[in-house]
Formats: sequence, C-alpha cells, structure tokens
Amino acid sequence: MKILIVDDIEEYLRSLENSLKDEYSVFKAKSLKEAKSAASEGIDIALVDIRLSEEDKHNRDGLVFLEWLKMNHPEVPAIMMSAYQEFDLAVEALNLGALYFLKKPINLMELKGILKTVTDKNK
Amino acid sequence: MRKLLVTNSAELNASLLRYLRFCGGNNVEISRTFADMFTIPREILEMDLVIVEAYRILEKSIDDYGLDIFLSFIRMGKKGMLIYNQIQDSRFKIEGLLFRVPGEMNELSGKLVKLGLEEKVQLSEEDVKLLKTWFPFRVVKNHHKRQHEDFNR
Repeated sequence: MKILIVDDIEEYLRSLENSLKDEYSVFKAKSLKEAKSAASEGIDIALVDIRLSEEDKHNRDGLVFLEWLKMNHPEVPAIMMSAYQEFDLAVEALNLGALYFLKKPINLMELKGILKTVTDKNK
Repeated sequence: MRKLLVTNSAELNASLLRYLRFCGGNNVEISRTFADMFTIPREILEMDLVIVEAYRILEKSIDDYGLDIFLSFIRMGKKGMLIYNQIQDSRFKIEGLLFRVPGEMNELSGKLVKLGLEEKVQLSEEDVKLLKTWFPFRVVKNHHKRQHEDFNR
C-alpha cells in the first residue's frame, strides 16, 4: 500500500515516515509540484498538509493539490492536516473531497486507525 | 434532523443528549467534545444542525472555536444553536439560536422545534459582528509560527 505524505516541513515528513514505514510504502513530497509528480506515479492514499510554505501564511497549496488529485485520481482517498484549526478550512477540505481533516500535532494512534479504516474500505 | 453536539465535556454532552431524546422527530445525534474535534470526518458535513458551546476551554486559555463552528454551519446554509452560560447580550435579537445552560428541557426542545421548522437561518453582518463582540476570545498561541510538537521522536 503506497502512501504519499505531503508537508513542507522535513521534520514532520521524517517523523510520519518513521511511524508508517512498517505498514506502508511511504513516498514524500515537500511542494505542490513534487506532490503532483509523486501522485502521478501511482499512490493508494494521500496525507496532505494544507499549508505548504512556512513563509506564506496565505499558502493553501495542500488544497490546490487535493483539488488536482480529485480531478486526476479521484479513486485516491485523501486525509488533510493543518496546524490551524479554523473550522472553515476543514469544511473547505472536506467539500473538496477529503475524507478527514486532522489538526496538528497528529495523534499517531488516531492516524493509524483512520488509515486502517480507509485502506480496509478500499481493498 | 441530524444533529451534531459539540461541548467542552462528555458530561454536558450526556445531559444535553438526554434532553434531545425528548425533542421528538426522527433524530440522529453525534456528540463530540472539542478535544475530539482534532479529527473532523466527512460525516460532519452531513449534519443539519450543530449545537455547540460558544467557548472552547483549553488548558491555559479559552477561545471562541465554538463560535467559529457555529458560523461555519450557518454559512453552509445549515442550522446552529450556541450554548453559553453568561448573561445574554440583549442586542442580539435572534434568540432562538441561543441556549443558556443550565436551562429547561422545554425551552431547549421548543427552540429546536422552531429551528427545525425554519427554512434557513440567516445572520446579517451586524449579527455576526455582535456575536464576535459578545464572544470575543481568540487566543492563538505562537500565531506567528506553526507548532511542531513532538509526536514521534
């Protein structure tokens, strides 16, 4: 099962990779461009941060990627994450087709439970 | 009507759910605490009405995340009721959207029945401004910088 993790923070990517690599083949992307390219290679699930630039507080590239993913690979389930808890952000992500919106810091047990539910459904 | 209940405590949820059981109709209720709202599933969008505490109580502060959720639901064309526990701001006239705790079961069920009958809840810009003045708390820790708490090191 291939999972793509999209986050601009290397530290986060590494931590998530370490936690998930025993159960999934983990692919990582730090930008919208890298994410599109990785997804085009074929993935089973995407875990995507909404903001993909620390410097730009208006950055919503994660949502742009989600929209692209749903257009080009609608079968791939997406879980969105954000360090910010504006409810409107969650609504926007869910409306664009995400299955879940997770607030950072991620609870790993919860994430693994969600991933299991999603992958079991897609089997 | 599918109702989402969000408060600060499982105890308050349990009490309100007991109230809601007597409100009649073919109801589906999901109850969450704010702590559960770290994970927001898609089913949230299928809810018709949110009953939410205006304040979220955090470890060292309070904020108005509940008001955020309420206003988002209204923007989505759904219905909402704010739960609060202080003196009502009398300038806010749409009284059916508010429920002060502790309250009477009859009052809550009456308001919910009325809300259910209304086609759409609309708030003017003035109403929203007033609500934000009434529930002004917005404490964002390290807002200039994202927090990257250790979760797996």
